[in-house]
Amino acid sequence: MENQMYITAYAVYLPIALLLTFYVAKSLFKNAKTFMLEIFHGKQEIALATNRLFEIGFYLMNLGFALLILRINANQLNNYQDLIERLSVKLGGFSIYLGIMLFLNLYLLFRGRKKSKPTQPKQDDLDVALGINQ
Amino acid sequence: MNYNLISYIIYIPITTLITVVVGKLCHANGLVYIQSLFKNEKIAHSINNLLLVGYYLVNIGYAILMVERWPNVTSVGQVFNELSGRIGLIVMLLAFLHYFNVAILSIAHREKKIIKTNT
Repeated sequence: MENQMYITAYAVYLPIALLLTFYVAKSLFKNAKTFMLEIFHGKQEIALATNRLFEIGFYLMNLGFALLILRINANQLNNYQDLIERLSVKLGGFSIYLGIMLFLNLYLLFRGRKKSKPTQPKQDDLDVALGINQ
Repeated sequence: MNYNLISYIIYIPITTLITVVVGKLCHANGLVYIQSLFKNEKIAHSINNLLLVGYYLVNIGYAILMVERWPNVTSVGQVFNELSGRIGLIVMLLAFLHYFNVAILSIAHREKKIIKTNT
């Protein structure tokens, strides 16, 4: 019975944590593309490459952390109440961690944007690069 | 099925629902403010979406995290006590965060105006 309990816990935890990471990464880097294009003054190649590299780093870091905190002590799981309580700690903590990572990435984007301000191109170039007037 | 399980089953959907509804409202109404701070339309939308996702992660994460420190409840009355206390706490936290955000927005708005009039 105890054995089955912690396998259930893993079976619930892993899909939720992995899907959450993928969803957050997808929405973060879809939106980060706009920032990258502005930071690199509309140079599409380098902006997309940087975006991709950031994305890979984000995946590695968060999937790694999700797997690192996977372990649940089987002795602590006696019934469904324990199961929900352990899962709440793991998933809630992981979710807050992801939120902090997201805001950290956002901060980096803002900083990059500020640093690249002085030599900003004309607004028209930017619009063409972003596909606004196409 | 003991009382703890019942209270978790009531607690998690309610807090998630409240967080999502408040997030949607702020997302819809906050866009105007962000657009007034950033000239680039696409950047404003990006920031708005990212802030929404981060808000969901942190708030729902914290709400779920609170399940761990739940004391043993043995009667229906205690279930209601615990539920009202915790849901109230979450709603209060959301309210504080909301006012904090509004304060930051108004400060940012004012500073931008000052910069504009100076240059």
